[in-house]
Amino acid sequence: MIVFDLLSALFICMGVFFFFASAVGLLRFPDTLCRMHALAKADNLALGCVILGAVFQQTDPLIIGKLLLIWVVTLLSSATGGFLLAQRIRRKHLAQQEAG
Amino acid sequence: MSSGSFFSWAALGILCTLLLAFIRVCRGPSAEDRLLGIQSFGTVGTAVVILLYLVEGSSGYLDVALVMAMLAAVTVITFTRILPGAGDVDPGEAPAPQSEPPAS
Repeated sequence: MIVFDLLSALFICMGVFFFFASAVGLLRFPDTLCRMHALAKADNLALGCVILGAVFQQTDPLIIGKLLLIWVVTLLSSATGGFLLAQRIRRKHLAQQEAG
Repeated sequence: MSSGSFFSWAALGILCTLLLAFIRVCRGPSAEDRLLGIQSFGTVGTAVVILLYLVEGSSGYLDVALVMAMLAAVTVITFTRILPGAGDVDPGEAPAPQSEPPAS
């Protein structure tokens, strides 16, 4: 099963890379909405890569289903949080425009 | 290199990105920036716990990862809905129109 080990290592290295990309984007981007963009896309992609790398190590379908469920739950929670946070930021910008 | 030490090194590398996010949490100009850093803690923590599961092999780690993934949404919902005035309080900010009053 050397092929599965190599695929797993490849996907986990991709996950580490995308986590670094998301952290650098969170640190370097100029605006709150830009930072949210970096975080929401790259972080979930990185977690998906790590989970895919973990799936290649497993044989039990129950464990594989649980790993995929973790990814789906993360996607849903990220979508919900991103929507709520963007709505709050937009409302704040509108209030600032009305005030000044 | 054994597979266990590879997964441990990968978890260590992912934890280093938490430090970068922590810089943003410390100096973020608005409360939303800090909350974004906290949100990345949820995702990174889930990935680290999954890698620890690959090292240790005990399936309890997967339940921890599932709970961390679910609690990541709870912080944002609490910040934006239940505590509408928390963090930056703008004097001109209208109250959230469709937010439920907190059950007391």
